[in-house]
Amino acid sequence: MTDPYASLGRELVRAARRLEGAGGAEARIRAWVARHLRAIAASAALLLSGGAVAIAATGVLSGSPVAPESRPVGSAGNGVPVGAAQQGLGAEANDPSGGLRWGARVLHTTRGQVCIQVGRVQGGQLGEIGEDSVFGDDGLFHALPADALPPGQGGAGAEVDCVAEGRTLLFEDANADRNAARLLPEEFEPPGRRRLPPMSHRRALAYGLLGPHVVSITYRTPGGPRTIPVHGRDGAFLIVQPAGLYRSSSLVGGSFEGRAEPRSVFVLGSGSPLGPPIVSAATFRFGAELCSEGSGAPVANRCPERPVFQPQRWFDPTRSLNRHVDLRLVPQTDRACKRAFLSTPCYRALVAFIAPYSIHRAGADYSIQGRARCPVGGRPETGWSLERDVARGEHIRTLSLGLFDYVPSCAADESFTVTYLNPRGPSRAAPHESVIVGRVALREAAPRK
Amino acid sequence: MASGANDEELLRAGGAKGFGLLYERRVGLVRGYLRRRIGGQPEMVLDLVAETFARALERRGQFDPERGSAAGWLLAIARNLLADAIRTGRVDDASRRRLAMERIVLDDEQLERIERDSGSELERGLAALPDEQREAVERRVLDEEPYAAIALRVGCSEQVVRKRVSRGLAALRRNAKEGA
Repeated sequence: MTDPYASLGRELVRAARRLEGAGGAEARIRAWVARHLRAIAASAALLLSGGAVAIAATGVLSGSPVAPESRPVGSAGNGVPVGAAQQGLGAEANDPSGGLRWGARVLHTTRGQVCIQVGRVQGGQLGEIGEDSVFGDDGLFHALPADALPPGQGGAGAEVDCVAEGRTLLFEDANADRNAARLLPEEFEPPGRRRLPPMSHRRALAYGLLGPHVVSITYRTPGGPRTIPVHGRDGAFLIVQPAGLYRSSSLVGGSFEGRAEPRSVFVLGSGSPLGPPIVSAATFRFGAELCSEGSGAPVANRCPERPVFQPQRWFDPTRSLNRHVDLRLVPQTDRACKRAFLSTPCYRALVAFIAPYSIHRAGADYSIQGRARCPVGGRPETGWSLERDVARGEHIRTLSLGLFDYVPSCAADESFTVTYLNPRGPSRAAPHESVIVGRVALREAAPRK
Repeated sequence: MASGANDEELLRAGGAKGFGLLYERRVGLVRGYLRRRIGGQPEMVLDLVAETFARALERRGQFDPERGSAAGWLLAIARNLLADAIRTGRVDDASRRRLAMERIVLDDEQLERIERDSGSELERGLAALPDEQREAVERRVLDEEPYAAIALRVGCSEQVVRKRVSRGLAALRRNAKEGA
């Protein structure tokens, strides 16, 4: 029996070798640079053409808008914002060094996500300023488009964070730049790509969506705890402080379902193993009762319970519908096999099945997992998910991300399993529990010549 | 890169082989750190360990030894990933996907064996420490609580906490060498 941690070690070494072979180039860096270069180029073009650059009443010139990393799709990933034009800024905060204020915009999407977008504010618009090696330090204000949602499902882009409606989000970054972007190490590698901003140019940020029951949040300042109200039914808030005040360097968060039940409250407090957060407490209203979680809140009455939200691995349902799953092996080029340290021929899996349930929200998904139990097998341990809307009865055909060998002696023991995942449990929008749709062994797919 | 190189050298200049050596050296530490927080969820611990090292591999060029040890950097990554997992309810796999890493899937036998495992090197080492040293090391090194906060919580001076941490770490190092 193979030790999974030994397998992981070998997998990491293979990945390291691939990186060495590829020169370490990363798509994320390219995307970041390309996005900002596009805006720089557009600003320059506008300046040269004369007059397309506007000056705001507060004195910061406006340049071209920020180009989104990818154009969102209404039926995939996080979806697209619903009624974005009507959704104004939900929370604002002063910058510690003056200048443009900070703002947070809350967006609800077609796929049941709620997102918070943070930036600087000018003329009621949210945007970024060309400083600290961003936009070529052009000093201009670049408006953020309201539909610039993160690619993929959930997760965060540079300036926007999304979660499923009914869940809460609390994001902290004690070391962000002056445009709310996390100072990701890869942006500064290789040297010369971007200069790390001096400490005086960095900010400690906390923002989030704490749901309809939160009244206020309390955060730590050098002068003691400070409490501010949250905004709207999404409970949006935004805190901007100078960097250096907080030791916690990155992300903390909590989650609770937005129902009127005190036991659903959860906020990370000072006793958290994750280090002292910026936000130290939250005050909630359940019916006529006010109560608080954490330390330093103005309301002494403690909320009755605080169950820890248990993170879970991808759900592993045990009940199977035993539906037919079709598998075909798609030969890959010799070069692709070589880069993946596989012998030739190697394959990707084309998995096909009839979807038993529809999906219209980002909270549910179909996932396909490769399962490898044969010690000398082709290791089809590849997993992926659809991350898009699906109609009930739709004929799904999806190609694996990973490559693998076909070893005839192991083909009976290696398989692909299709699961329907509903991590939040059955609801009106997604009424079915997580379930195995079906499984197909590798032996059922002969390699195509 | 010789196996005698320190963690920081392996991370910065060890190449693929060096990273493999670093993994062998430190997987117990990271695994133990996560196990302490998650408990009996071996599949999730494996996912978090995998993503921690994948992220470290992706960003190893940015590791700065002047700001701390490689082990501390790995634990910081693990802590951030755990926080992400708590927030989103799932373990991030972005780095593994970007690196095109195959997923390690546990079968039933492996799960049982991991459950039977009496604990990582770190856990065993901590268990062997006197109570006050173990608590001081856990709070300071693993949970990164400030000395002042630890002193307040355990009811002694900061100086005493510092001594307990120092002695606890020395004992851990000593025990690790003896066990090697």
